[in-house]
Amino acid sequence: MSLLDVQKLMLYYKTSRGTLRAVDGVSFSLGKGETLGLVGESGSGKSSTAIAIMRLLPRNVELYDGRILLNGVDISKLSEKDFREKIRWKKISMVPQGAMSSFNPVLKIGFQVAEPLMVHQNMRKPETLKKVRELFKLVGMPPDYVDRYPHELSGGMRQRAAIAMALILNPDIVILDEPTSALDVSIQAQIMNLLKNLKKELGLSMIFITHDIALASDICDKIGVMYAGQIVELSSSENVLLNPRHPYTQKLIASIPRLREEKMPEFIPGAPPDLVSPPSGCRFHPRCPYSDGMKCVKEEPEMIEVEDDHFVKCWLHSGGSK
Amino acid sequence: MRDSLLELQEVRTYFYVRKGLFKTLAVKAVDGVSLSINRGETVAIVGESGSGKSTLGRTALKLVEPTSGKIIFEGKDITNLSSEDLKWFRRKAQMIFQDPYTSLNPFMTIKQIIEEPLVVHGFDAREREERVIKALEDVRLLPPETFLSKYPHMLSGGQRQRVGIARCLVLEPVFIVADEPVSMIDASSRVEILLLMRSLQGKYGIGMMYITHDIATTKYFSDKIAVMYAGKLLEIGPSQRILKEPLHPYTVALIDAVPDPDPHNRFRLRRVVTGEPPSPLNPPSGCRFHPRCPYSDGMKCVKEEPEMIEVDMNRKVACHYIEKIAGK
Repeated sequence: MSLLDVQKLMLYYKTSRGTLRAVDGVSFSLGKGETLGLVGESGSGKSSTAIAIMRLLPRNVELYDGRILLNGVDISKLSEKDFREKIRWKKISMVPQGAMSSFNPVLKIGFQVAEPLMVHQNMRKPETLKKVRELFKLVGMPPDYVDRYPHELSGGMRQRAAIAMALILNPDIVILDEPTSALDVSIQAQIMNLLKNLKKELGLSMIFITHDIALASDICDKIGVMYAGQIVELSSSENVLLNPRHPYTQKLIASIPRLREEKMPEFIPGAPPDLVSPPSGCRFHPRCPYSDGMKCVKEEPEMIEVEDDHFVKCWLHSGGSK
Repeated sequence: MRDSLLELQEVRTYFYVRKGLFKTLAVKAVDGVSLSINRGETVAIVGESGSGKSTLGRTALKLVEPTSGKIIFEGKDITNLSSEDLKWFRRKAQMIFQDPYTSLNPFMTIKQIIEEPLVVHGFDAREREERVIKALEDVRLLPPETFLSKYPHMLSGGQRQRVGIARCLVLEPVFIVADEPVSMIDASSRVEILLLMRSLQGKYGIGMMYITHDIATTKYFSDKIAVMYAGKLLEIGPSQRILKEPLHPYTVALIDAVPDPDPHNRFRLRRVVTGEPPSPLNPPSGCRFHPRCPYSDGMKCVKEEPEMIEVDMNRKVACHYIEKIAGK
């Protein structure tokens, strides 16, 4: 049994233009100690998948559906009170996108990182700060930074603090939403090494959200490629990166400028679709070089297991055209 | 040798900030940069945040005044020209901005946005229309007529950035500063925009300064790379040479930091430089990279600032131990 099993997750938002289908039938599983990468362009539903799992829903939700099994128990059916007390941050925590710039500027960083301990475990401040100091050491921060204010820390250090905050209740799963995208490249490499060490030392399970499939290769055991609110390819990093089967994955990998290979990067013509009125059939068909203009336009392909543990949502592999 | 379009000589741009009542501190954003850009050539300025790369671009366009040094454009010294005397330069030099979401006025149509520079420079309505259509064709927003009356929110990020490029092209510039033009664009469209810029530059013989934090994008889209750190250039030379054989330890680190999509990456730690980029308010003494450099000797590197030394044709590096490092 996997640690986390997400089945047919849906999250639709109500907007002035109509229903926006941000997450539309996303399924995946995550094993203990495993890191799953959710890779996709902006608007592909990566972050919405994260907030759906954390149940951090905005007010304009129109539909929130699907099953989220944690150790076999469906946590999506828990009451809000139970979810808050037993699951959120205790079992599954998160480093939201831009976390490093969302610290309260007038409170010391140590107190902010310690807050979950006071709220969830009724610990008193001196004890919590001791725990925070230990955690700071673990994430590569000088322990005396607990007494600093956010503006006294660099971006890299604030990001480490945000990671410490996600780890403070010893969760089983941490969701990291673009944890390095606002950082300088040299600091990004430092944070990736930190995450690798945490994964090894703590046996942490992670969901790593990024738009950069090359960065995903740096930590992920499995990769799910998202397009227009759906996962279109899901398998081990080896399969997805070395033997991609969905045309979108193939094109996405070909679009990375390589420094160590002589290969002109490519691009995908067109733009990601509007999720208020996504294309019919396969959502990638308007940009896909293999679209047959018939079945691809009309019918939505199912997720097919093309080889052991390698899933692809494409008519090329579903006994459709060609 | 091709003729030089823009030449920066020992340019320094300082900003002054008040600290307390009586003290003023200088932020040395650009601190002695020399560089030349030829017609039809793209020079990539690569650096991390706070390296001064954007300030360098704005100084080259005279959007901020340099504190010292010279800016020579088409053989004329424009360093001290007043804005009145600069009007001809403003027509020839343009900028592409980073954020296609905030750099286009949401209340203006695409036509109004692109023709605004033409209105400012006094073109008549017929010529404006012609030039707008041509610019839209150049950036491949086709057919151009269908875009004229649209508003920015109706376009995708990539299309918006093309509007930004069209606006920059209508005055037929010979020099363009592109400040992180693709960092806000989706990965699948980035290469499309870079290819477009490259082809337009070749077509019109434009000299371009391409400012980026992402050294990977310079490979196919620049002729020269200048690596900037804490207000100074550390290395400059032909792109292919620098990427294949970087000499300065910082350039090596920048290239190391770009991962290839290789599933084996996850089993090994990346080689990293420790520490963080310095504050431009208080840059390190000597070589500005010394606190993070694995080769620092703790003596000369800390005390003496290395000069830019020509190591071979068109290639310069600022490092005391370059021979030792390059030799190993």
